[in-house]
Amino acid sequence: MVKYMYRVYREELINDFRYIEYEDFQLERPSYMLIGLPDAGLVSVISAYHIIRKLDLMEVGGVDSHHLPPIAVIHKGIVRPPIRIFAKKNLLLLYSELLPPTPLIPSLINSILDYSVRKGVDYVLCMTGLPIPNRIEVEKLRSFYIPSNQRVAEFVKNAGIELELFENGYIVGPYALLIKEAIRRRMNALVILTESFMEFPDPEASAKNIEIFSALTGLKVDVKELIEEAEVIRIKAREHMKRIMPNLAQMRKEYEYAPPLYT
Amino acid sequence: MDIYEEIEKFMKKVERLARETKDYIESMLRKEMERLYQEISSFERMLKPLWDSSGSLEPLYTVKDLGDKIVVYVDLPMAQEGTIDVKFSENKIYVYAKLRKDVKFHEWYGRLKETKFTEYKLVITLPIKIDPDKVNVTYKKGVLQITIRKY
Repeated sequence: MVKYMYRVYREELINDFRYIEYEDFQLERPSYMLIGLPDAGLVSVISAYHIIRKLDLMEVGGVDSHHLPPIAVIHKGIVRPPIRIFAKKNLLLLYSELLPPTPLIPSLINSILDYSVRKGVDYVLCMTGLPIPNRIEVEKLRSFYIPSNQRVAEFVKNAGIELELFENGYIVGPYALLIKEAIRRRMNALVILTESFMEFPDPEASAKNIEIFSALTGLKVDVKELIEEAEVIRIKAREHMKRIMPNLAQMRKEYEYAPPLYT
Repeated sequence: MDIYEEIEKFMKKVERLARETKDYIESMLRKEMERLYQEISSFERMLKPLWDSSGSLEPLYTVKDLGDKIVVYVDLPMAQEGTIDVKFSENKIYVYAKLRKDVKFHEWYGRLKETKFTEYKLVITLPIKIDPDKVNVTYKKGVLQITIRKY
């Protein structure tokens, strides 16, 4: 029988965002929540998309709001909310190919953190792009991290990966809000930034982030296929990239290029 | 200074103020018209897909004004390197490239069954007239870089 719609098992309204679960699910420990929202080079979304495929994550819920643009996502004939939730074992993944309007982002981020607490998430992970103007020249992409506390910094050090602390500069967008809010709430959150294009989809930067994700969580995700399909993904992601550019400009994303005066 | 001189001076002041006000209103109107035009053309751009049913894809591009030069980056994944063609006319850049392999959207998500994409086509309008002798074009990592020197 063809299913046309999702089944609501549980629904909760957090900050005007409706968190819908299609089934009962519990996360194993230590649990991770990965957030894939559109950002520079769509690095975050491309990483999340690949992780969903390779780890065969189950679509367990979604997020909707009357403040979001009037959009329904249709996936394999089933109507879904614009923000989708996937899970398996100890990983919860929030995925959206559409960027909510800028004024909505603070309340969305707050609701995501509230929801992560409800689900008993130990670490909230954000892996995104750090735009560099000379991206075309750069062969070896550098990656940086911003931890919300000492425990998260230790978590990064124990993973034994090549990551530099993001010491000076600006980050702009949903993850900037998330890390500030996580610090305020004393939650474990980590932002990973890998050098990327700003205006073009960058699967190479996504692959680097996925390797870091694998080392951090122990969840092995092969990136060979992502590298092989990089050009196809760049074609597929063009329309989304074009449509989020006005949002990035509105957020003043170009601040990420600027060196701060006081360091 | 007699009263006539006073009046004349006052009238000159009024005339100057009227002229300045007219200039100000005209410049405000011009700016507003420009803003409206930009807004309308941006809506047009936003609502237009990056493909054409005749079989061409429009690539993503970005234009950076670096003072003495303008650098244009065009994202051309899967372009067949020997087929990339860049032409200039007045203030326009025409980019064309064949795709190494046909792209069929219906293989990805089931729609546009009749359409297959075989090439990239793009026209970029710049604010300056382009001198083809002052242009340098490179292609790296699937990204076309067009550097146009202004002087």
